[in-house]
Amino acid sequence: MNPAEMKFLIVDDFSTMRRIVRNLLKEIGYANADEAEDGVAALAKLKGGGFDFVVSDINMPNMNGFELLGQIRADAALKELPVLMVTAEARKEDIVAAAQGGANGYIVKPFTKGTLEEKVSKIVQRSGAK
Amino acid sequence: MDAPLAVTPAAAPAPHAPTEDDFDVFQRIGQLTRQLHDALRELGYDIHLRGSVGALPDARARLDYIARLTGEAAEKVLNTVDFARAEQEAVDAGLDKLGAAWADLASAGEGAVPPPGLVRETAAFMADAKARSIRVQGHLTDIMLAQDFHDLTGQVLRRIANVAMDLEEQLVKLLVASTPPDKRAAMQEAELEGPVVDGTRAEVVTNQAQVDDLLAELGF
Repeated sequence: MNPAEMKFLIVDDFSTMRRIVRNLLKEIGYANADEAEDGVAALAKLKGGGFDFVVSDINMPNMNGFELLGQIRADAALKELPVLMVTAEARKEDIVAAAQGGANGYIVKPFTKGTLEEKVSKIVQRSGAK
Repeated sequence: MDAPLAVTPAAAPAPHAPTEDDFDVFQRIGQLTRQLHDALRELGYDIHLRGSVGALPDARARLDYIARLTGEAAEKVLNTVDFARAEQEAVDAGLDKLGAAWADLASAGEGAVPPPGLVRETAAFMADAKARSIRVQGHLTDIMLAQDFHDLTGQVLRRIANVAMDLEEQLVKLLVASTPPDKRAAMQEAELEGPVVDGTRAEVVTNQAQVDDLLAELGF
């Protein structure tokens, strides 16, 4: 697949941050994106199919990012999906937990366009750009 | 309960040797304090109150963090708007100047030939305008990114609201202390912490480079 056609799901309980991430992704060449306000909504959309990349916050109501990550990795159809955590959680134990839970990358807020571009393209390359 | 204490005027009394009355007052204050302390402990309020009061300095630090973050965001947006405006004004001035020259030429009729100087100047202007346009795009991105304070401060504000709610709850319960409350299960779930307001703590990272280093150390 052409990386530019990849479909992203942006998961964050703050609409401002979803818009920021969506705009930045568009600027770095990924214009195809949808949004979800928490893990529950995200999982429902993911199970509907068609997504190639998840950018998720951690601290969210209903289902947080760790739980969402766990659900994705436990689902046969979704387990290979790249997941990039973009979060204000800066405790080392959270970062390690995300990595051990199968996250493909971890960005701590506040972040720059350059950081997002670097992490996304690295994950896209590693996943073989399918 | 003991009879209420008489309130004595706060005027500074001349130092004198303690009398028997003084000892009596001290003793009664001591008794009252002990009673209050025991009552609170029996009702389980001391732990909760201590927890709530202990959360106050943290709430203050978090409010300072919000003030700092919103201040920085406002400053960044205003500075960036200044940069973008300067670029915009330069393009505008170039358009005015060259636009007038080309308008004159257009009004001179079909066969009018632009002077070589004007063509060169126009080509240079277009290259310059393109470079400025790219820089303005960058400024717009910076302005957009500066809005991330909404997410970060919003998370912190929720936490402070919880502290305030908790304090209120504890104080209300103290007011109705005469009625023994139902047992309250100490459901202190381990919560996610949110943005780091005190970057000097060892167990947190404060920038992306530290995140990357940590993950690299672990082989991720």
